[in-house]
Amino acid sequence: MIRTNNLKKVYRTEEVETTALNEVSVEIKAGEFVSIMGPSGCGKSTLLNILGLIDNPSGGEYHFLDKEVSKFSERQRSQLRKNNIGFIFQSFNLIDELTVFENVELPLIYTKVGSGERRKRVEEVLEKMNMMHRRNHFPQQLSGGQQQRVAVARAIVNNPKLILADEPTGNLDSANGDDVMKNLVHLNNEGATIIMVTHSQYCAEFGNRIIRLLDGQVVTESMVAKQML
Amino acid sequence: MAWRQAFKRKGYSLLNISGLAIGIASCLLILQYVAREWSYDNFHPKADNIYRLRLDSYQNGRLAYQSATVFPAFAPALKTEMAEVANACRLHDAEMVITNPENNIKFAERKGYYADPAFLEMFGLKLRSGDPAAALSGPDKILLSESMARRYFGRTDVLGRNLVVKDPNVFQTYQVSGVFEDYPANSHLVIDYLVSYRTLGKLVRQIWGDTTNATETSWGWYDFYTYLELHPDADAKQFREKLPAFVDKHINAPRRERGGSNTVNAIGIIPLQDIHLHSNVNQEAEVNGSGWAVSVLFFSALFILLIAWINYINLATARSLERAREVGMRKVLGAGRRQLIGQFLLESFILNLTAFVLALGLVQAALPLFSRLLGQKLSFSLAGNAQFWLIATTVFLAGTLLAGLYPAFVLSGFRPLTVLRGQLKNAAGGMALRKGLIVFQFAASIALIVGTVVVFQQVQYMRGQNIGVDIKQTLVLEGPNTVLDSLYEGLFQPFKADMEQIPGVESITASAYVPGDEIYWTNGVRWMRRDGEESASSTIYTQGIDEEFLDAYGLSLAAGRNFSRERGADERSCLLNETAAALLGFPAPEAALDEQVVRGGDTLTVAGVIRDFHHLGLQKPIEPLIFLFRPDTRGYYSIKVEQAGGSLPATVAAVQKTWNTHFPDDPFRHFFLNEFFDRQYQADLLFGKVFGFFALLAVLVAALGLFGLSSYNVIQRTKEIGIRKVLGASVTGIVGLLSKDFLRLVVVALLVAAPAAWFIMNEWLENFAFRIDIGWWVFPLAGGLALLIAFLTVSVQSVKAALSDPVEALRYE
Repeated sequence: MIRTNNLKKVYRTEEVETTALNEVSVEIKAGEFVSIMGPSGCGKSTLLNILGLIDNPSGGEYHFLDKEVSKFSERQRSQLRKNNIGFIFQSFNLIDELTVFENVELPLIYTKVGSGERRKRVEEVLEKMNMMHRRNHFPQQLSGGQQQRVAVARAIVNNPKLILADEPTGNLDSANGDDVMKNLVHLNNEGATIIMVTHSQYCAEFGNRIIRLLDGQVVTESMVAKQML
Repeated sequence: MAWRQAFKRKGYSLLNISGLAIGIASCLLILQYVAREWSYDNFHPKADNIYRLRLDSYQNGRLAYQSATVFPAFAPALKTEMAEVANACRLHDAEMVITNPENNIKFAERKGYYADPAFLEMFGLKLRSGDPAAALSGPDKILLSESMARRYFGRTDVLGRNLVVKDPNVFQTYQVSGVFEDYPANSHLVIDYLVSYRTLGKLVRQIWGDTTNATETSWGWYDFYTYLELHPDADAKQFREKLPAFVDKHINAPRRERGGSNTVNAIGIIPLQDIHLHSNVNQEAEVNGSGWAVSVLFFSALFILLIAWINYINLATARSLERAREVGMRKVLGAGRRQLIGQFLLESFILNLTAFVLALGLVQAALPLFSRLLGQKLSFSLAGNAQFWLIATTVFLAGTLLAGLYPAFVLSGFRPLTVLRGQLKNAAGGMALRKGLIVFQFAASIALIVGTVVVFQQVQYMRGQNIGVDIKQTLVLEGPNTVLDSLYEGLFQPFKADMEQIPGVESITASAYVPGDEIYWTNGVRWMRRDGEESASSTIYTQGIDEEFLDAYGLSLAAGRNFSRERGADERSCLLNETAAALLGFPAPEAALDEQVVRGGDTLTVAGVIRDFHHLGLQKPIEPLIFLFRPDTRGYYSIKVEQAGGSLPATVAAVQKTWNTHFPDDPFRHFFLNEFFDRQYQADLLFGKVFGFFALLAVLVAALGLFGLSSYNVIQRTKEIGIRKVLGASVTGIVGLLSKDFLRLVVVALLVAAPAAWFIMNEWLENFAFRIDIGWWVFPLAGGLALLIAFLTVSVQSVKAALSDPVEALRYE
């Protein structure tokens, strides 16, 4: 599904040039649940952004669904992104002015799903995330765990092939964190490919493979022993 | 600290200051003009007690005309009979060619009056020399302004010197009985000289053989401006209520007793200071201003200033989120609310001060341009004008406080804990206020745009109409004043013959008036019915013409024939225009032919009826006209110049040369008729230009504010934009999202502005006899324009935001 070849990302400011990613080559197959680990500033989030088509690499190749997309324009990336990828962020990134229902509905609006169909699908995922009773609340009225469940609902409402999660449990207590991880595993079991960035070895082990980064380079890749769930 | 704030946020300060400066500058400019218009005649020491009479004439119960001039018998009668009247004086137009016999310096003078002695005291004329008690008593005395004295004598100590007037029929010598300080320009009267009133009585006796002492006793000759000075404790309202009885006693009752008249008169009084802006009747001494237009400009000035202040308030409160942390921190450290308000007011003070200084520069720079736009000299040097500084300081202080207080209270009111926890969200109330203010700004802008469009449309309409008379290619000469009647015919015929020889001259015709020139010659006219039935008399405007007038001006007859020199009896014929024929009671133009009408003491036969044309601009209705055959009239000579042949300057030069040979004692005064006629539209055109200019500024200032506000809006929504982009929103989608709210406000503004603008502009159009209807499309046009401007303004920010990298927005959480 995903194959990168010598991916490179360099940030330039007036004074310094920072290499965030250096010759990263990874391959992720459909149906995998991959955790990316590493210390702060090692390039995890940068890699995730590139894999998520939010950002372009400075060099190297990126094949997404067998297309070389590293030189895609914002418009092309946006097209691919909204039809294939769902995002989950550490700080949830819900829009404060919109209700739970409207937040989840957003990706469907951008992929031009009709309103009847939208309603049906939003209700479905909210049901699945056990958030139906909160559909008309605003994000600030919810607890952190509830907000992240909404964010997960938003990420999967489009039935994306790929789900990207950036520290999804970072702002949550362990009970809520576990809850989110179980949801991810469940989604993975249903066929979604998941790539997750995390600090936590505990969380990382929910996946089936761990990629460790240090200073923009892949240092180890290891398979995780099958979890007993 | 306040300075540091101003420097720290350069963009913010720049927006604020430039908006404010433009707003203040245009407000000061307009107010300067408005203040000048409002200042008319307030320099007279007795201004509050002086009133001018107005004569209303009703014929058959219909108001036929109102005149600024009245009968000469009013002044003495009112003074003797009415206890409220402390003093009264009359002015009568005194146009003449004046010569200094010593050096033969000679000018055609227009701005002077025959004046009662009481004028000097009532109007507080400042005499530089001469005895105020005697200067206007007795005949043949003339008072000069200092400029006029210099013009004739090169000096101002000219008491006792002589000036000569060669009236067509009488050779007069006037003695200079005094010199007065130049009469202020902000008066409804322009006075270069005053001739003693008794001189007029003498002339009327000598020239017309008048034995009735008409200049004192006439209750029919309405050519006299009459001013009353009421006692300071007199009640003007009560005085007004007594006037109908007075008029009835002196005019209407005797007329009823005599019988045969259907005219009823009434008089009104208008305070001296209201004349310039609120009097617009026949025979005004000068072209007056429009109180309506001045008020509209005044409110536009306030609107622009308000718009600029609103920008300040909006930007300051929009920034409150940013500054909330600062406020919270200060409060934690122990700052009181009062100190914080002080700090914000100080910031407001500094911004306003900077804008104000900038505005003064702008005013200075724009003044010549503005003066040219207005076509009048705005006399103010910034330094020495107390009034200007008073207005300016008021504007400045009001701005600092009004615009500064609200944000100061909002910002200082934040609770530190909420703020520092980062929980502060835009208070819904503040948002509603900002939206309301933006609606106000754009409503004002839209109303100004609508106003501008309507004014220009109306002027365009008036200029574009076919006025029914050909005024193109017409050179008009003002007739000679110094030639005696007995000699005139002998001089005019050779002059005419010579003129017709000039290459490029097609024809020449003489008339008492030309199109565009207000007719003062009126008379009561009635139809003498063959069946002996009574018929009503109506006031009709008189025009004297020769037999070539109709051809030269392209006028056509609805019935009958033109005057003809061959018919000896045409002196006893007349022509009517269609309006006059209808007014006199003829059912159709043909019905008037060979009927007899009585005009004054004469009985005239109607020879023809001329199709209606516009003698005056389209502001005025088509008045009833009667044309008399006066081949010897000498008001104006209209010369039709060939369209193709020869160069115009050469023709004019040749005409002047011929003039000088035939009328050596008369200055050559000429104008082109189309320009002369068009001058009637200048005031409205000017109004439109000024209006348009400030509409533009208002929109500009409003756009500046919107720009600032939208940029803050974008900053606040950075995160939201980032999320939406990650989820797949397109650039257009984001721009639409960010613009939508502002554009909705503009639409609301349009809904607010449209009815108000429609109402006000309809009111304005009521001033015109021939007017456009306001097209519905004006409103979408103005609204669309505002919408477009708002959209472009907002989109600068929103496109930038939409193109920004979502990673940036989401990276720092």
